[in-house]
Amino acid sequence: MILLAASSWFIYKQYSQLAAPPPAPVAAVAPPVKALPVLGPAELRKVRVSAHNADPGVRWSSLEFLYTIGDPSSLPLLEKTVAKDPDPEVRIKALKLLQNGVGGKSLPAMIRGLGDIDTEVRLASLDALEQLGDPAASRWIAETAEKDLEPDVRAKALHVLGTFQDKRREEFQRLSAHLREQYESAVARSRKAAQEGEDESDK
Amino acid sequence: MKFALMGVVLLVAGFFAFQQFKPKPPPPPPPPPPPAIILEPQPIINIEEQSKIIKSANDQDPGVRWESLVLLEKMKSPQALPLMFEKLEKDPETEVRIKIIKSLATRKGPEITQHLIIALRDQEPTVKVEALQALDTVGDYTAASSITDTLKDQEETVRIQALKTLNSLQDKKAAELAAEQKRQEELRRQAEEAARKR
Repeated sequence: MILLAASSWFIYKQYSQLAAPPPAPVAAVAPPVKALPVLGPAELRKVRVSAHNADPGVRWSSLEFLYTIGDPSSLPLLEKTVAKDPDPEVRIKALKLLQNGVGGKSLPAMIRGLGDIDTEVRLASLDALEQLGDPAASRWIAETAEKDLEPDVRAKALHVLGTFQDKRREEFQRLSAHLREQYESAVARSRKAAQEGEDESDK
Repeated sequence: MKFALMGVVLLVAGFFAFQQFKPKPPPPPPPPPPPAIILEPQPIINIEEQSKIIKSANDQDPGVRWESLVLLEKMKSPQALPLMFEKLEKDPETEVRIKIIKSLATRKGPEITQHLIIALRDQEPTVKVEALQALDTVGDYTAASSITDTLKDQEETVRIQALKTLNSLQDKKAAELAAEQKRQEELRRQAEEAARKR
């Protein structure tokens, strides 16, 4: 009887350790509702047309408005402005808007700005790229550092590459610290397990 | 039949009991540290592009030359230090030479001291003063005799800075000696206490 009771207890213990139930499903979150634009589609079309106006002030205001309301056409329009607008002031403003990154960022437009005729636009492009901090642009920036005619632009390009390197170092150090922490906790766990094993064998 | 059933039950129970109380295998040795802990981050540009940056170190514009040196140093390029040493001796722009000295002052080593000593022979007094201040920061006593040579410099600012640097090095050495004496005394006291306890 005792033997039967002991064996039943072992069998019960073995099968009572059932797997934990699966976690409860995550409650569905409703997507954030966007505020509807004040203007209707017809008015928006008119604003988009104003982005090609002869007056630089009008062009800029319409671009800024479209970008602020998050109009899907604003990003291609801004990219086009950086590449083709005849007014360097507007090109610089477009780059700054892209740099602030309210509604989206555009690396190709910034890279295109590196080849602009105007020095200020090229410097604004480098500022925008520095702000964006995407090392994917490094190749073009290195080319600017080598070939640009203006020493200020060459120096700025080298400086931007330096900030990219700093950023990479910071990221690397963060990753390294995280890995070190994981490694040390794994070593500590392993030591603790070894100690427990030794204690049990001593008993 | 009854005994056979009991035997089977006992066998199963014995198996589970063995599983429960069997000695645990020794834990596996800790894994080797991941390479990211030990290594340096990769440069953001490839070797070919790095060679363009090295070319920029010879740019006509001093600002570009300096930025290229800074970038090479940040990327831990093997060319960074030799280029800095070269520019410290040959760069025509005083401002660049001063910036290089300031950058070298943050490191230590016989090579650094040696090039800072060479900078003491610069034509510009401001560069010499900066080199003396850097030698003070580095704190290498082996530079003392070279610093003494600058006491004959024509420029008063250089002579004054040389004296300041020598004084500072002397103070540092005295402080180091005092710290060493204190450490020795502490060791002796600990040894005496240990002997007394025995």
